[in-house]
Parts: sequence; C-alpha cells; structure tokens
Amino acid sequence: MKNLFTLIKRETLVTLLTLFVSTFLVFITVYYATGDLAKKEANFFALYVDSWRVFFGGDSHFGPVFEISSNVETSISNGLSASAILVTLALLLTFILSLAVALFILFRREWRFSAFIEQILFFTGSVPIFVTIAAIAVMFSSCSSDQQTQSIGFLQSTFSDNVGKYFIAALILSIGSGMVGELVRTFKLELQKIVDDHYILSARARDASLWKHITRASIVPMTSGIVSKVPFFIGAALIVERGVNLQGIAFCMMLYSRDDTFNFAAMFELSILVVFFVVFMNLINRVVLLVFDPISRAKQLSRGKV
Amino acid sequence: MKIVVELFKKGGWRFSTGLFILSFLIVIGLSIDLLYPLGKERNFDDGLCTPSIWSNSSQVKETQQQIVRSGTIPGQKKNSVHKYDTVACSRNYPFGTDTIGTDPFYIVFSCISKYFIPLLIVLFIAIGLGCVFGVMTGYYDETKQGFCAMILSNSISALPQLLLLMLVCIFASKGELNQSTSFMVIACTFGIAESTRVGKSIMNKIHVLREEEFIDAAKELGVSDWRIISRHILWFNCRELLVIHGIFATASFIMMELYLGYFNVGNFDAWGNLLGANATTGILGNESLFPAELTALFGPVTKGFANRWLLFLPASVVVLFIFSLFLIGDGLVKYSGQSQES
Repeated sequence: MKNLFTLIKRETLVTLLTLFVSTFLVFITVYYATGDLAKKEANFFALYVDSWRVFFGGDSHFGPVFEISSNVETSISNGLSASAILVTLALLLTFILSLAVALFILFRREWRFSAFIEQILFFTGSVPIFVTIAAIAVMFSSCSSDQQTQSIGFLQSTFSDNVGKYFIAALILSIGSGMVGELVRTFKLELQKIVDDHYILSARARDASLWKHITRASIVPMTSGIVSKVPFFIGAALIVERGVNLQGIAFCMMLYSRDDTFNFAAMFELSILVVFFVVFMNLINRVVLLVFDPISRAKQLSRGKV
Repeated sequence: MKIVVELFKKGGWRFSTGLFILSFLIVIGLSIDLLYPLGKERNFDDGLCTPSIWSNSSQVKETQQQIVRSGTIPGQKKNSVHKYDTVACSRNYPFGTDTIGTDPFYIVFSCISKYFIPLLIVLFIAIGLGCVFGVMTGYYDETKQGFCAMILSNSISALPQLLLLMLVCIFASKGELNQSTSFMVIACTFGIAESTRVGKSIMNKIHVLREEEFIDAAKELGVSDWRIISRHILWFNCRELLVIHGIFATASFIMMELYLGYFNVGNFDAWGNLLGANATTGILGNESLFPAELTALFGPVTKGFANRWLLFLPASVVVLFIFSLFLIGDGLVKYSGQSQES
C-alpha cells in the first residue's frame, strides 16, 4: 500500500511537470497566434505570468485586451460545458459500443458477417466527419420552407431538453470518427488474449463464471485504449460541434481568434482547459494501471529512479 | 523482389486493392493537365463555366478573344451582371460546377500533386523525431535525458492535434505567410504532433525487446549503442512499424487538412478548401441541411444543401484516396503480424 502511494505520488509529479511544459507550449502557440498586439504590449515572460494571473481570476497588468469580460467568461463556460458533455457522452458510447461489438465478434467468430462488421467500422474512419453529417442530413432530407426561421441555439434551453441532440451528436462522433472501429480491434485483441489465457480456460472447463475474471483482466487495456483517444476525441468533437451547430469550444475558438474580436486570455484559457482535461485523464489512466496491474507496478518499483 | 512478392501474398486483398486505387488516383492526378487541359480556363460560352472536359481549345480561345474585343459575353447583354451558373453533374461536367463556375473535377484531381511535398515533410518529421522520442524514452528511459524526452513527448501529445493546428494556422495567417509556406508549416507541426505516437510505439517495442537477450548479448560483445539502436532495434525490428505509422500519418494529415478547410482556417489551395467551402457556404440553396425532424433536434446547420453533388462527388475521390491508404496500412499490419508469427 505504501509502495502504491509512493508510485501514485510520483505519477502526480510527472503529470504536473507535463502540465507545466504543455501549458508553456500552448502559451507560445497562442502568443504567436493572436497577432502583434501581444508582442507590442508586453514582453514574453511578463505576459506568461500575466496570463496565469488572469486564468486564476486576477486582473491583467496589460490592459483590457488581456482581460476576460463577464460575457466572454460566460460564453467560455457554456462552450466548455457543452463540449465536456459531448465528449464524455461520446467516450461512454464509444466504450459501450466497442465493448459490445468486440465481445460479439469474439464469441461469434464463426459467423460470416463478424469480420465484415469489424471492417466496416474500421473503414468509417476514412470518411471525414462533416461528410458523414451531411450524408445523414441528406438521407433524412425532406425540405420545408419554414426551417430557416428556427432558432440556432443548442444551449438556449436546459440540458434535459437537449439530451436527444447530444446523444445523436455523440453517436456521430463515436462512429463517424472511426474511433469505435479502431477500439473494436484493440478490445478484440486484448479480450482474445484474456479469454485464451490458461486460467480462464481452466475456469471454463470447470463451468465457473468467467465474467468476474474477464472484467478484472480487461480493466487496464480498456482504460488505456479509451484514455489514449481523448485528445483525438476533443479534436473530432470540434468538427461535430460545428457540423451539428453546437456552440462549444470550437465556436468560442473561432469567435475569439477572429481579428475583430480576438481575445488572448480567452484563447489561452480555452487551450489550457483542454490540456488540463487530457492530462488529468492520463493521470487517471496511470493510477488505474498501477492499482489494477501488478506487473506494471512491479516494473515501476524496480526502476525506482524517476 | 522477394519482399514485394511476400507483401502482396501476406498483405492479402487489402494491400493490393489499396495500392491499385492509390496508383490509379495518383496517375490521374499527375496527368490531369493532359487529360483536361482547359480545366483552369474560362470560356464564358457555357454559362460562364470552366470549359467542359470535351471542349475544343481553339474554340475556347476564340471565344475569349471575342469577349476581350467586344466586352460582352455571347448570349448576354452589354453591361449585364455576370451570373455564374451552377451546372449539375453531367457528361460534360462529371462533378458539376460550383457557384463561381469552376469544375471540381479538375480541382480535386489537380490537388493530388500539391500534397506530395507536405506529405514527405510529415513522414520525415514524424518518423525521424518519432525514432528519437522512442529511443530516448525506451532505450535510455532510466537516464535524465530519457525522462526529459518523456515529459516533452507527453506534453506534445496532451495537445489535441486539430486544436494545435488551428492555432498554428491562425498564427500563420497573421504572420502573412503565403499559402504554400503555411502548408509546409502545418505539415511540420503535424509531423511533430504525430511523432509522439510513433515514439510511443517504438518505446513499447523496445520495452518488449529488452526482455529478450540479444541486446544484452550485443552489449557484452562490445557492439556500440548506436549500432544496436540503428541496426538491431530500428531496422530489424521496427521498420514495419515505422512504415505502418507513416501510412496512417499520411491519411491523418489529409484528414486534418480537410478539417482545417472545414473550419475555414488556413485556406490552402487543396482539398480542405474545396470540400470545406462546399460543406458550409459554397452550396447555398433554399434547403436546410437538416430536415424538419432533425432540424428540431439540431437547428438549421447551414441554409442550403441544394447542390449536394458539389460536396459528395469530390468527397468521394478524397474518401477513396484516404480509404486506399487505410487499406494499404491494414494490409501491412496483416503482413507484419504474419511475419512475426512465422
């Protein structure tokens, strides 16, 4: 237990260091992405410190351009919550769908369409998401003249009113991005290894329940598989948001990167929050790995240096 | 030669089909100026569109000279407003024409050659830097340099690629770089972002290889680290991995460029610009993108989708191109798996 705690502490330190470096990389990119104004107003490191001050709710030393007004703050928090809901829902859907399909293919190997389903899901990744969205739209197309008058806002009502919208958007994100197809392959391979393991085979021979063993053995590969895709999911979510007109991070980024409305602090905050999310998910993955995988724990302990 | 035969044998139908489709598209792309020499021209004779694929070049030139001399377009009154016709797909225009009269058929195939240098940059950086990251984090993982490389690799991979590319595109557009330079900058950025994935795969492979004894044996025999890394690890054990990653990186880069075009950032003269414009504003008609049932869920996404061929026909070529890369990659994965088993 003490060893585990030490390892988790070490992983947290590594994560903090990663966070520091990635936020610095984000700062450099945003600094150059937001035009000459930032460079004229302040030197690089003063602005870096100032950005963090604004990020934690303080006042900027470099005038109103670097401040976040309450309107901007509200739109960012709305955008972030919309994107977070979409990504989380898509992750959940992807996990459930991939697991279900992988298990189905694994236990129905002799069925001739199993391989076909796997191939189709894998190759959906070669179709750009916006083309998929357009294709869905055209498939259900039945025009009426009053459609243009409807409101655009996705977030103008409560979450419970929008569950259906989020669900369909998440479904497009998980299947349309090809993520389900990729994870079905990973899960199938990992599950196959587990199912063909000696202790599972002997448990099967004795008619014991397999699910407890399978669940425990598959936690680590499943978590690693899904968490490693989080950055990709966030990227793909930006496209789906634009496609289905959800005012999430993509909307805020496009808004605050425009010449007439650009806001350095807003861009920095948006990018940093995305990085926080990804790094935090990676940390969870590492902790899960250490808790559930004794081999990985032993390897980490044997290194002992990091 | 033996490897090629084995590749076709073990790669299965996927590898051969993928290679056939890819070669076919590249050949058409490279010879499009010969097949459709008037693709760049305007003849103002056919409703202000690009001359069709069957047009006679001397006739087109004559019409153009006539327009220059008279200042009017045949069939239109003097000083009338020029109206560009959107022509539906037909024998003359296989992909139709867009709202400014250009033929997407010509554009979509002529774009293929524009990807060569950016894709080479992506491959070079992704594989080169990926090898450095992989070796540092896998072979030298217990050193300080290895630890620093791991932190750097994790930090780069924490940034979603599309977000990073969007920021870099905005930076490139503010820096007033020209289109081709911006495209190279994007290719470099994507290569760096992709190198972390290649690095992780090599790192995992090195961790597996370290449990085998040949590395220790080579060390005992006095073989240098450089030789062990370059020859025994990267060349003998990781080359297939690198080729597979290279092919999937190529497909991902094309996809990323499409998405940047969809967001209207970058505006490179490539597929993203064509499809992105057609998917958002280029095909405005009177229809809503989503029908009543789905509009109730999503709200109108764009105002129109009347000329849907403008999105789907060029997109089919792009999808076919990416699909062929996926097929080749998948075939190589199969070949690699079978080689390891044997």
